[in-house]
Amino acid sequence: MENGFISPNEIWTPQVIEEIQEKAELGRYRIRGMGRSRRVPSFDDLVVVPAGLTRVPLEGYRERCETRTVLGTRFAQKPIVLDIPVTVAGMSYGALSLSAKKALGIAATTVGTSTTTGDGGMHPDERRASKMLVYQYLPARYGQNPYDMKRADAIEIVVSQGAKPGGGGLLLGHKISAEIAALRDLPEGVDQRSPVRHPDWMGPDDLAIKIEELREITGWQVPIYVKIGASRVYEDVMLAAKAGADVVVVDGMEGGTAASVEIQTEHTGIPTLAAVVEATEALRELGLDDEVQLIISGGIRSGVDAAKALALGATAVSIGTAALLAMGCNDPRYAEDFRSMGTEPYSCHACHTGRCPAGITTQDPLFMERLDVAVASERIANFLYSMALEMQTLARSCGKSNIHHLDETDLRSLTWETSLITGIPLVGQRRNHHAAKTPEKVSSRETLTEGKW
Amino acid sequence: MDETTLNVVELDLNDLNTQEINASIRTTLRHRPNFLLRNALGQHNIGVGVTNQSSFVVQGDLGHYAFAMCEGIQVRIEGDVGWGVGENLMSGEIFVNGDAGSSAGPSLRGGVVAIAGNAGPRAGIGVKGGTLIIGGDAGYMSGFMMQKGTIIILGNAGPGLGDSMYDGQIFVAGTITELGHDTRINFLNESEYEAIAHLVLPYHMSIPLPSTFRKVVSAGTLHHFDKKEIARWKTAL
Repeated sequence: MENGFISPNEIWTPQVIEEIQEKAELGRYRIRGMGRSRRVPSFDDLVVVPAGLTRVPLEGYRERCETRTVLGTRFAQKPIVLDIPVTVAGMSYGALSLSAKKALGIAATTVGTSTTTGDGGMHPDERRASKMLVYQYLPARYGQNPYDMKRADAIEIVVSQGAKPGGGGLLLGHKISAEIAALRDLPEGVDQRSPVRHPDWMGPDDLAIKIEELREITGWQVPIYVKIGASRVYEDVMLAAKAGADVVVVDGMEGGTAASVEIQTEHTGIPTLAAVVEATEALRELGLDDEVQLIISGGIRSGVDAAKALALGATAVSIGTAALLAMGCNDPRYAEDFRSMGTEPYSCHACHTGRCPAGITTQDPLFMERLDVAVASERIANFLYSMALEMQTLARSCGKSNIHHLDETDLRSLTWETSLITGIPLVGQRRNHHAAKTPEKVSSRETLTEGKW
Repeated sequence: MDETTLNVVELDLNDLNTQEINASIRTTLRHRPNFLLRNALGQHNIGVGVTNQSSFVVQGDLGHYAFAMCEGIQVRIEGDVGWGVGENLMSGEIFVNGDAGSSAGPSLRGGVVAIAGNAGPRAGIGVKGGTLIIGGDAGYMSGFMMQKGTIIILGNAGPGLGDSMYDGQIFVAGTITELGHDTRINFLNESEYEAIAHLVLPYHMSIPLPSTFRKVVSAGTLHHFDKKEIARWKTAL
């Protein structure tokens, strides 16, 4: 039989055809978990340039390289002091099983960092497991109460998240168990679609009053973070800092989610690489880069990504998806279960279905039993340690005795595109190295407008 | 001056900033839980985060988030309030003998927030329990995404009433300009009217006749992603 009608089509690919046919069946947009899947400019497009004759490296396995990180030094009486500059991002009890939340808390405590609640309030077990717990203040206000707020070590006002900036939370009915429904004051089994805006403030002027409210409730003790999904990063970071935030969290478009409208995940927002550059520039422009700390999140996969983010101006990074993968998400042990859902290990992004075979993004008791909290927390802690070691390794190789001393001069761009985005010189373009400014003065906007690249 | 009066802590808000006012309340609260706050001039964030059994009388107007995130308080405000009065109240009572700005009683979880006058847009947004009473009119999108609890509007309700509410009930005595998406109207029964009267009477608001009331509840058509939503969405386009 002739196969003259079988030929690749760059427009109507199998994926496009599948998507159209699925939407024709569903009558709505597609929903899925995890996060963006297509390639965008990333930290992979930067390389670290270690010491040689121009600088002296530190002994890789011996010499001290400080990782201590302090967040919330601007107004809070009790800033957060972390042993490593990697925190665990907000993920709700509801999106995640209680065992998963406990494992994250124990792991964060083990390595001396913080974890964060999510769009479902603070569970007592999570509080007990977490020495440093950041309490998210979200538009939906599920389970919110003054006691949990006062028990928190920091408050994070969530404006939006990187996986779906401009979109609200989503938790499908399969995961709204009786307990989750009670905690959130929702009907059991309902498809929860959270509001996108806070109910009682709108813009930056109101945000300043809102921040004051939270400070008054907590007696000016704990730091107030403002989390923003990366969109108009430069302007948003400026407004958040001017409104009085101690810490600004910027979540790039690679950020994960347990459920999102697929097109929002794939087609909205700004890549984390660009977000850190814009955010740093905004704080420097305001002269607040020494007062307001910057946390970058969204697709951070390793100590390498983290080190590059710090070199570009972040004080710390936050991980979500990577922590779930460390605890067993996509574990090939459950290959048969993945296949029964129409997916495969290493490819699953069906967090929204509530059928997570690894017991992480589910409320099904049968699956939840599979997650051993002790094992999972040890794996997450190991991963966090490995990230810290990777960061130290890179910092030492650059001759830095503190990972916070990494800066733009320790990086080079592999692509012209990345050089334009970050202002970091392109490899091989030695003439441009002379134009590189000191970190305090580097500004991608400035360099672009001056035409030095 | 009787013993009760002697035990009342008086603060002149004209002399203090927000931080000083709240610090004074916090430090005094455990031993002397009754307060008279005089000369309120629209300051924001007054009385927030109080979780001790306590009472407050406020003379004058307050700004945004008055008595937000509280539990077990009894408050009477002789004036108007800004946005978000009684945000997330867990239990207790806040009575505003005046008007309220936008988003009165947001995310209310228990107790009663009662406004003698009118309330701005988004009154009772995201209510999760308790009761919000509005003696006058309520603005646009009141009861938006309400989850549980009760809202009583003795005057008129603006457009978008109860839009996308999951559950709970909204009683309206006056005109409903326009119902929000995914709502429907039920008629009251006698016991419901009696319950409304029981809730409203302590605030000396006049209660309209039973026949004037309508009860707005969720129609439940947005509870699950479904092709039925297409019909809903068409009305929003």
